[in-house]
Amino acid sequence: ADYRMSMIVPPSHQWAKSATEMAGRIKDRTEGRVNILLFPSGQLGPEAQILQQMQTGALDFAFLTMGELANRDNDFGILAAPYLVPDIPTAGRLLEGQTTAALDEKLPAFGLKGLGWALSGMRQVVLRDKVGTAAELSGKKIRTLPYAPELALWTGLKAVPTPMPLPAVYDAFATGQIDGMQIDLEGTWNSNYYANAGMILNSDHGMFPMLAAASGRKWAQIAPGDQAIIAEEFAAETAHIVEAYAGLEQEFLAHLQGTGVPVVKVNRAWFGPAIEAYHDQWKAKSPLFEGLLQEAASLTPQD
Amino acid sequence: MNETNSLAAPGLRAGPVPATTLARLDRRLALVEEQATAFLIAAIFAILAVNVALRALGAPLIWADEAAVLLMACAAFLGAAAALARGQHMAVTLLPGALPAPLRAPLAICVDLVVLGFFVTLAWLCWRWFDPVRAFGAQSLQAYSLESYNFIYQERTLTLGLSKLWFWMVMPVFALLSCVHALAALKRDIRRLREGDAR
Amino acid sequence: MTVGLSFLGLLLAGLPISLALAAVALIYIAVSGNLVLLQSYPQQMFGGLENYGMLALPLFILLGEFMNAGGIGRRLMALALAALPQLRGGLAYVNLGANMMMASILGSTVAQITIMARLAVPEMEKAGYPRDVSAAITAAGGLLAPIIPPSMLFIIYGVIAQVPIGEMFVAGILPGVLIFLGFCGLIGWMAQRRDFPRTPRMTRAERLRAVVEALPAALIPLSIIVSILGGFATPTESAVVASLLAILIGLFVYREMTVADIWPALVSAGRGAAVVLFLIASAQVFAWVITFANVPAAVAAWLSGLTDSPVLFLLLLNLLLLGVGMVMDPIPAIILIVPVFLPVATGVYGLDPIHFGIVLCLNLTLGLVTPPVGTGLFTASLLTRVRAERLAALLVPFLAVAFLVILLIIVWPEITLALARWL
Ligand code: NA
Ligand code: NA
Repeated sequence: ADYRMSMIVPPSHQWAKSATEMAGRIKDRTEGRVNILLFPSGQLGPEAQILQQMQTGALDFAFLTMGELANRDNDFGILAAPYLVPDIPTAGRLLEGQTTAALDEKLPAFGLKGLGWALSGMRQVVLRDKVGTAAELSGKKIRTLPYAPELALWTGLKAVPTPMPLPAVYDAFATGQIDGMQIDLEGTWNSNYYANAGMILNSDHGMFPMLAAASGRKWAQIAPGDQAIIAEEFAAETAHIVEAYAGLEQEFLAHLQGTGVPVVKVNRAWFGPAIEAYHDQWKAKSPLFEGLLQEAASLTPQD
Repeated sequence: MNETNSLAAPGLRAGPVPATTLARLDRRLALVEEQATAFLIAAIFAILAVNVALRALGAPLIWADEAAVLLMACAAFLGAAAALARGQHMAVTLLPGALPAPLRAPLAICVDLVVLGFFVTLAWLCWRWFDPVRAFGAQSLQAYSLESYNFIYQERTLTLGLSKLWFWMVMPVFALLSCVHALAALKRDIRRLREGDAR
Repeated sequence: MTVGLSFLGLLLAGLPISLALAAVALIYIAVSGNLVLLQSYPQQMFGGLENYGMLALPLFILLGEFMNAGGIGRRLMALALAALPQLRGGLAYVNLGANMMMASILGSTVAQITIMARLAVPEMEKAGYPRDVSAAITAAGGLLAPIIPPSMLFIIYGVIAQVPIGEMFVAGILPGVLIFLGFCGLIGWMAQRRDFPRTPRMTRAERLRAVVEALPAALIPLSIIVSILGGFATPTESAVVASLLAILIGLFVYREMTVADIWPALVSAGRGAAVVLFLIASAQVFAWVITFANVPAAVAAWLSGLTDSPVLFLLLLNLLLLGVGMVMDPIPAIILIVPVFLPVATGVYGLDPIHFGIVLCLNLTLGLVTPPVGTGLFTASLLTRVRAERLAALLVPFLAVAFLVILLIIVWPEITLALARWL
């Protein structure tokens, strides 16, 4: 039978490429019983509507960012906290841990069945004007996604988080309506944001998690044998996406370093006490955060 | 194609509008809808103007864009209801305009019936979507969503901190208002058909 | 099939186009048996309007209302006239030139037509041009808005196709200029054939007075440019800034408007915006239903089976797009089409995504002024009170010229790519 899978990223994005390959393998292994049709670029609606259609059972599968889930439940927002992990491989291991397992158990309350966790590139900061210290970020208008984990970071840095739809970002940055943005290397390169940048802070400060999920309602109607094949392939592909990003990050970084825009590596210490304060603040917001921090610390070699 | 003075086509609505209760209600509601639309446009204007000023001062309203967009959607549906009553929606009027006079009223009635049918269906779909009887009959709204997979009462706006419900409410309101307008148009066209037969 | 026929039937019977699209979406759900979609239908309809870019529509309509109420349009047209030598069809060129300037400010055809219909058409009518011809030239000029940067459509394409928006902008310049020149040629021909009036002789004093009187009015386009380029406002917000200025000038400088005129302008803008926005919402819900049924992908598969030649593929696609543009506005059409055809275009035929994007956007832009669904056409019709059928007929030569430019671009991709390489 035909199944439908949706995501907001365009076909050229790694998530969409991976989904295409995965759908092919699932079709082969189930001998055509599970034929997943892909709808990238939010063709069936933005994430709020993707989620709603998964809940009614109109849509069967999706790759979801944390935007909608974190908006409903702070526990999902903690994955985007700053300086949990230093790099993509560590992020990948964190996403296989106990915290995401606990989050998986919350998914039925959203009408979802979790099938794996992946990510895209680490969050960076692209700025119009050079800054020397984190104190100089104060008062700067930084484009973020309109969800709590990103807004909180910039409020804590005394900057002005300025959510704005993606199509408006290029012009807003070119004209100085915003002073900077929190974004990944992939977007910085592919959308030419570097062209108007005075500096790229290679901060690797947060991960950008993705949840691979099935509609809870539709999952229950799939034969157990096929369920097993689907679950296996989703797990394999989410792992592959993590692997792919480990390589892609280096590629995009090299591209950007070749543009002449200064790419400055900064770490947690550079941001000062704001990160510690953020972590304290989120311990109060989510009971899972303390555990996540410990889990992350156990994965990270202490420096 | 042109803006039309009836649900169907221009020149089909002849003579003064009879002052029945339904016709009066039709016109009053249209007036209220129009004023409400203008008020929402003014609100959007004010929010964006204030946001431009505050952003220049380094303190933008995080919720301004989302509020403006949601209010625009509400304005669009209320205004669309008013436009239905006033026959301002764009339509292809080639055929109704070319038909001989005796056939126009029956065609107009058919169109009115399709419009009425559409809005009754939309109202019914909104009823299923809000599902108020089951939702408020359940132990809690949370419990309702878990058993029904309908999360309408949980969905929140991203930056406004409000339930999305308040904005979605415009859909059932739009459907019901439009049902009234469609009924009024139907009654008007039936009366015209009768008057035409009497002549 | 049933669905296509019921759509045609409903349209011909005189059902509003928006309702025909929305009703056919329901019929399609019923016919396809995917009844679960009914549960999402009202939310999808609402969600079709949850788009920041769409805000430009009511706000620029409102700006048009205020510019009109304050007597600003009149003085701007007088200025443009004073700047032009005596010429047959002078006002028609003024209209087109003003549209070209507006296009470098606005990114939306509908917004531009809204303003220019108010500015240019009454002036042209007063000067002795037929109103329908004036309206057609204005609507055609509106097509420049999304082609000359900035452009809402290029931005949306850039985001979906993940190509640099800046390069899309640069790539649009030459095609935009070509279309502008083509339209100028067409007006020259029309001026002879239809015997357009000459611009009246003006004394030096008259010209000077027109310039001085227009100075405050000229602040309005200036405020749009300054607020966008200065980083104070998004293009959408710039309409708010310009509106505030228009109100101030109307109230205190020209004194043609009173505070009591503000509310009627809001009512009128709300009415115009709602009709267009509801049409967009219905188009979105329609697009959602046919996307869900995987119709676009099936069409893509069929199309790519027809030929091996990239040029032939683009030609075929463009014929198809003309059809799509007839029944759909560019924004929902881009959202629908790019994800389906871009992989075919770049993967199977090796086309450059920028070139492909420009061709796609240009073609779909034409759909804005073609019936049965053409927001630009209806906006122009609504504001100038020229029947849309008449407008559409008069627009045929303009569409033919624009399509010729598209053909040129298909055959010579360099028209889009050269400037970007050179910069
Ligand atoms: Na433009
Ligand atoms: Na069209």
